[in-house]
Amino acid sequence: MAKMIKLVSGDGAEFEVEEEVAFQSKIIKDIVADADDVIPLPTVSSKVLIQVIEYCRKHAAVNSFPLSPSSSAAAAASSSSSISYSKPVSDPALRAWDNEFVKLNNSSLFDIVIAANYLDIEELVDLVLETVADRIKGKQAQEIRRQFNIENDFTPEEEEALRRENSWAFQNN
Amino acid sequence: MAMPQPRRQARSSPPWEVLRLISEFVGDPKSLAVACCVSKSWHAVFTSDHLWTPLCRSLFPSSTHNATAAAVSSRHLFQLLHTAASRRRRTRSQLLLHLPRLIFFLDVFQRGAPVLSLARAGSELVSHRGVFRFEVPMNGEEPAALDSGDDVRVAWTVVTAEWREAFGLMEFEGQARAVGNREMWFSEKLPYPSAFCCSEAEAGFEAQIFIELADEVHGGGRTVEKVSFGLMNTKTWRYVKEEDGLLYLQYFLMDTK
Repeated sequence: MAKMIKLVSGDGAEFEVEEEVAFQSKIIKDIVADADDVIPLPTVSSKVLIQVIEYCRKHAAVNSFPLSPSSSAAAAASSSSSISYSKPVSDPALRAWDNEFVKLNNSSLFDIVIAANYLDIEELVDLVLETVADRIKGKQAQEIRRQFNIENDFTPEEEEALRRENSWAFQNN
Repeated sequence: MAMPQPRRQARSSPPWEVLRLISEFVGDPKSLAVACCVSKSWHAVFTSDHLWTPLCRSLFPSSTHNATAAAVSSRHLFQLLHTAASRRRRTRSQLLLHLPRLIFFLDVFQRGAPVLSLARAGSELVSHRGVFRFEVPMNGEEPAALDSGDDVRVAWTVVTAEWREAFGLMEFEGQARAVGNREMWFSEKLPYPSAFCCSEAEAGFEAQIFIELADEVHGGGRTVEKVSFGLMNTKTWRYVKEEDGLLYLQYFLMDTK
């Protein structure tokens, strides 16, 4: 019988999860080592906790099998000049599941990454950050503003100066 | 790592802490540079040295061997080195200054008093056959009278429409030259910096103003009917092309060097 851990969301809802699922969070793993099996998470709402648990459940099954040597070499090689910290998820089926999981609006993604960061679930943090970064890469400034509902608070002169300074980035060559 | 409850600015703009994390995943320099232009808070996040230093180091490792390079931000350093190669390929400056962005002012004084004052926005001017020469009919709006005999003082200035920069095209004092019995002509040599590049192989520029006067005399002077001003190439004695005139003004009015 799998050991159960109880997670309590900010709005008081309780969620019982298997230990290996909860242990996707390094923080929870450390807490459970010394204390109870009831973990209050006052900064995480139920809505977000449900989504995080869903992710952890899916990945707990996969993480019980360690990465093969060839895939960890590939992970090391891919981070040469970029500063991305993500280890590529080697299982294509899991990757596909992840891609579906993050088909959420920006607000939800931010809530999830904040919770995942708090709970120290590295792969989930990386997954969300990568997803949001993809919504920025290759886009023009105005598109980014629309996507994230950001106000352009530059004066026309400041914008002109920025445009000139960064004109090399706006050309498509 | 525990994080404080984030302050949300608007519906879906990323909280600052999240934006910092996201910035590390963007990676490519062009996207980073565009992100700097989104808003002030994004500018603060995306100009951070920790994003640009690895890019500089991997694409221009030599820059780490100069101690003074550390005085500029990594972002600036990257932009400088990245665009360095494109300067060689550039044979001609790109025209960024267009006529509607200029305002021309002309003041003519005679015997210490202003006799002709006009201001025209570039958007009101039509170039004469594609060259940098513009005719301004007076239409009786500002009754100005000039005595072709006496000394005049002429000041012709161009200002950018945002009131940022100004360039004096002419500062003339003395006798006007007469052309026939209807026109007065003023000219002044303009500086021609060797760094300036335009399509005319060799050139010297001159500012020219023509004032066309009416035949009738009104109490001490003749009414101005038309004013033309332009830039002339002193090697070919032709007016410069409108685009070349604008490039010339751009050189002095804008920081595109």
